[in-house]
Amino acid sequence: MAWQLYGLDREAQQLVLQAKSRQPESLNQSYKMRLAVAYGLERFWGEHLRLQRSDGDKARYWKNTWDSLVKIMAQAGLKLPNDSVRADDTRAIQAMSEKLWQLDLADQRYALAVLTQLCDCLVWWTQRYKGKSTDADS
Amino acid sequence: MYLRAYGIIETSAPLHVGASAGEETGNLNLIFRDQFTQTGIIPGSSIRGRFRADMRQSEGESFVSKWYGHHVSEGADTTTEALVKFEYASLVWLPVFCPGQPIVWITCPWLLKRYKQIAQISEPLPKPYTAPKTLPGRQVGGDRKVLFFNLGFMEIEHEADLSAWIPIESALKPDSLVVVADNDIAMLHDMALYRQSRVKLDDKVKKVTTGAFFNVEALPEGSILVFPIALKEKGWKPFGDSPSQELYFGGLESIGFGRCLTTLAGEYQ
Repeated sequence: MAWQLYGLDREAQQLVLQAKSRQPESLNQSYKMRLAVAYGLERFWGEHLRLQRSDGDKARYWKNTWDSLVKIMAQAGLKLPNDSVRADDTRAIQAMSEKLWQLDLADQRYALAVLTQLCDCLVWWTQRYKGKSTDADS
Repeated sequence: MYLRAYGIIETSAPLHVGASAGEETGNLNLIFRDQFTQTGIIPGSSIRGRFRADMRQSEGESFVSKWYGHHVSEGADTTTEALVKFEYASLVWLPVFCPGQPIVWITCPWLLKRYKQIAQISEPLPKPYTAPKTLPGRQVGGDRKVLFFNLGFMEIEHEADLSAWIPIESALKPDSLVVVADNDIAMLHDMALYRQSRVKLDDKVKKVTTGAFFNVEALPEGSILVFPIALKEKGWKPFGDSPSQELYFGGLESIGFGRCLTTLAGEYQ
């Protein structure tokens, strides 16, 4: 096994293209994601709940990014919690938050370092694909 | 027969040897690199230039001519051979950010092989993916240990004490060393480099001068390099009686790059 890449660029490109095809305006969330990383895993995960009420496409972009992170870390043997939660379900939110806070400090650092890099990749691809789409479907 | 000596360079600041600009015109190789491992080097000429310039300042021209050779001057048609010769410096250990560690020093068998020859180490070369038992890492599934990096992760496959590979005078901690494969070093090296985008500001207004946006690349602080020295006779004392001295290598010296601790060993004085 030895050295293995996470394949972050590929993941990020897919996330960006999916977000763009859903709603081009939601792409600007990439920058906000990159900024949110600094505040920790709990806040990053929680942001999709805040957006659920106002903007489903933006919420989906955040959640899909979290899903990717969970998948990437699992390859390396680190299991991140990923409950499916609705914004109005306080008990479920609390349960998921507990799981995040209980993560080992070292594990949090690993996950945050990878998430930082993933968001850097998102910003890169966003910068490339931003702007009006000329596809037939837009 | 030449006398064999060598030098160890430990960077105390980022080290930039190469071209600082020109990526717009196609130069993507900002620092000099070794063609096989793609890792940063310091050319022998740069090392020689620094030693020679420092000696000129402290000892004067005649001493310089004796050790480094007499340059061609008008009227004379001959030069003299240098008594001291330098080869390029290659990396031995390179610090790289590793979440949770927070830094590990990496190398690969190819780089260690050169170091082994130069420093005449009798230890057999460690295998790829070797780390000391004491290296902190994430334990996965029983006895497997995983190291996380920004772009990938690595499983440690062998455990060995690597302290025989720590050069003289260096403050490397024996439990933060990792040997990776020759195939991985180029990519990890790219990940480890000190990289910045820089601008030049206008002289009168605080805005970027048109076109004055460039990137710079440097070996990070804490990198350790080795270079061979060959001497025709003993008595070369570039640092007086001390084996080590702070020397500046490479460019961008005025903005804080290039400060290195250089230590000499072998038959030189």
